[in-house]
Amino acid sequence: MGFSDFHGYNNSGRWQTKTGSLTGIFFRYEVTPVFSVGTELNYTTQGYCHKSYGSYYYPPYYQPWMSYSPDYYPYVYYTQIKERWDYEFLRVPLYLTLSTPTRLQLSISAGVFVSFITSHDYTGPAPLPYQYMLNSMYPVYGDSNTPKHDNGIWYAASLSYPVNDVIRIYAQGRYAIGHKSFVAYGAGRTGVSELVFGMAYTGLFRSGNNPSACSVVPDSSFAKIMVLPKAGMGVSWIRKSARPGAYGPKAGGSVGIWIEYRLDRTASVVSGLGFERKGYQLQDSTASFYRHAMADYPLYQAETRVDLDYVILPLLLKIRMGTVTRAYLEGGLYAGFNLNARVTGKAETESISEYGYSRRRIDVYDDIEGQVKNFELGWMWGAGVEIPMGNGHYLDLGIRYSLGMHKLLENTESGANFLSDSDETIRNGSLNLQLGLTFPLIRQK
Amino acid sequence: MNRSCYIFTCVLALCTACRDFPDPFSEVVESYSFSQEGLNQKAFAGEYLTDSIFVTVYDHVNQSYPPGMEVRFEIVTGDGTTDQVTGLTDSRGRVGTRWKLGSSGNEQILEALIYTSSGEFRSTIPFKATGFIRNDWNTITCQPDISIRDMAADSVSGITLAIVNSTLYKQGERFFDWNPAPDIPISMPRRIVEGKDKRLYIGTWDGRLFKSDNNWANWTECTKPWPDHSYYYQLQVTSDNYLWATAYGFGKGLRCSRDGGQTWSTDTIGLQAGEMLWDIFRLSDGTLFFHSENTNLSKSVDDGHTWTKIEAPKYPLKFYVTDQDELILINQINGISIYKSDDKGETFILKKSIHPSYGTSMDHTVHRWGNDFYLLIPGYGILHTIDFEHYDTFWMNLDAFDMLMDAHGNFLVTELYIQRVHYYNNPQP
Repeated sequence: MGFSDFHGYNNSGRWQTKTGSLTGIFFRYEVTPVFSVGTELNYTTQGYCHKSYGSYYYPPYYQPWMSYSPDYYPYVYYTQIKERWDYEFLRVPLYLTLSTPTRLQLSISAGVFVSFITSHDYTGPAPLPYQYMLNSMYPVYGDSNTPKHDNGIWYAASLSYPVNDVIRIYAQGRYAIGHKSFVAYGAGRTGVSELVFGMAYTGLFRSGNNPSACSVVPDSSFAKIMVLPKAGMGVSWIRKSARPGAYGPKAGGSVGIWIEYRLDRTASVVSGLGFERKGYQLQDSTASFYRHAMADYPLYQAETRVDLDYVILPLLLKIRMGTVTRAYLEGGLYAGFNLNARVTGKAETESISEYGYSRRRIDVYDDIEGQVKNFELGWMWGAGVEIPMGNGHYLDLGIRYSLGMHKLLENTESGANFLSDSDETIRNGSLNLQLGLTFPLIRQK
Repeated sequence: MNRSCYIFTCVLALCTACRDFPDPFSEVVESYSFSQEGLNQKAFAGEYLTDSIFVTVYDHVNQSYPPGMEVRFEIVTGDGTTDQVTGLTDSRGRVGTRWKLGSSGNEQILEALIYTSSGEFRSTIPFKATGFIRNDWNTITCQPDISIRDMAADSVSGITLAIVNSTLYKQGERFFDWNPAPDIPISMPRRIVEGKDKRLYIGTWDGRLFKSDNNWANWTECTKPWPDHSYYYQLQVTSDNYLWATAYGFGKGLRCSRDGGQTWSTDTIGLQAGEMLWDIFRLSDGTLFFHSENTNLSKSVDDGHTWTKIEAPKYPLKFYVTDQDELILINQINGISIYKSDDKGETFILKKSIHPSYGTSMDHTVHRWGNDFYLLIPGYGILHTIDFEHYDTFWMNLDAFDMLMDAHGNFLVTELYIQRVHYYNNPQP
């Protein structure tokens, strides 16, 4: 099954995740027990649902000297514009995979895909019940000129377990982002998180002298390559703000699989694929829900939270000290690819003039991917200890500190020209406490 | 142990990834509209406004006029007072007070501060009024005063009519009271002129002409100067009660009605094509002088049938003739210069030069009250003279643009930027 994830330049309203189906067949060639190349043919359905800001409507104000009666108008009513786009794709990915050569095998994959659309559908908003208000209900985006095919990037992580010598059962999570503008007059690209269950036949073209993945015996004293699945929790915040008092930290987390290549007994190079949730909190009087900005129009008193999901690709140098329980320091660069960006929370605004007063409460839910840069490069520093667990395994307990080098925001939102004192230089920062396991893979000869 | 770590990893990932949020939603939780009554009233300083001022509150969320909203009336400028400092809205959402203006200043401002029944501030509504000081200058920024463009006054009957935004207004009891005159059935008036015979003529934006013979009570439509012309024209009347008109457009020329607007003749001989009427006067010997918008001065000695351009100081903006046949010419040489001719236009002698802050055309800028003449010089102010030989500055205002005078000798001076006008309550009878 898949869970749709809109990627685009819309920052008003909620793009709701919709569940779709997925069926397919994959082929994977193991170059080594760790490295393999794969492809797939699958059929997937994806639905994208947009909900605009709902609100209550009130009858127009009337003056005592006006001729009509207020009873003519209905009482307040609620409206929210909902639109939905549905697509069916035939999709072919091509990806590279790194796997642990263990019986319960953990694999990570990255690659590209091409897709061909087989059908699509659009459902617009329902008409209003009141004739005189018909004109106020209109599609926010409407139907689009749907492209016939698409391409994009693909990430996956899976666990597999051998049932017998030639059959493995799989559970896989993966993420795909399209390249072309599909949804809502080109306002956004397709994206989907998928959860896949299946079986793999591993007996095809099997070489007799290939070492079985589950038969690798690691050298407990020194392994050249090691795999480190890690997960952690921590805090994230923003840096370089012109108005730091308006922002606060929020809880974050990370999960990933790191590959460590040991240069010698002391130094290693660490890379891999991880997922990290960053973000920050905003508590400010502002014209924007996700940053400090001033404007001539009434401001929001916002209490919001910005969640930013990244795929992280680090490249670190790790220095290890000690013999049994070992301490390490690591540092280097990371590349972050933004998957999701969302602001949620509460806001309130007042409009005061000599003609009237109004106070509005807002439940904020905006997808702000178009306002957050897709790519981030940053520094990553870490430290920790490795505690031997026996059989060449280590329990890794560490702390990791990362700093984004680039500005976080694109400053492309509509109406940005009307903002002043806009906080456009904010950058990511995060600190995570991580717990992991180290699996040695290839022995030193 | 390994399996436990995997499970821990998965649970941790799920905990950090999953969270549900409410749909985006915007709700107006409180909404009021405010309306005012009694805005922009005028009164003599230190006196009560004629009408009380009122605030009405309407609650959109509850669809009602809320009783019990607290309104505090605070004087902001002027030292006036209100009969009620704080009041609560009644069942119609309405609360008001009488306002006695302060004795100083012209513009006086009162603010009505609106609070909910629980005392939370919601808005401020300003009320503006003008307090007029007798026998002095008064400045006002309200309608319709700032839009008065033409005026006709009969000092005998005391009636003054004004044209405001293409609507006729009649002056009330006080010199600053202006009331629409629906009893005068003329639409789109543009120009109003009065003859020596007390006839009043009104030219309209759509090319029609109306006249009134008896104290401006009854009006009849005259023959149009150009039957096929449906736009405005320049209109003047000379002391012999001849009507003169020019209009933009090829071949229209100068037209004259010598019978009170019944018939019209074309009297263009000797005039340059396209000359537009600005000022026209008849001397006691019957000689006519025609000052055009193109700053030419011509004269006619045959009752206006043929015209001859005369040599005069160049670029005149205004031309005026006194009862003693003195020709006054104001031109734009050396700033603004005033010339006088005692020999019926043979020679003009410079009498006065001033330097205004800006230059423009001069419309109703020469007025006589008793034996005194008042000249409004745009960009300078008002000069006063008795004999056009000696001048004194009566009032300076570098933004002054035009000046009108009512039936009681009160001046109304408009400004270049149309933001305000100045009344002078003339103490002279």
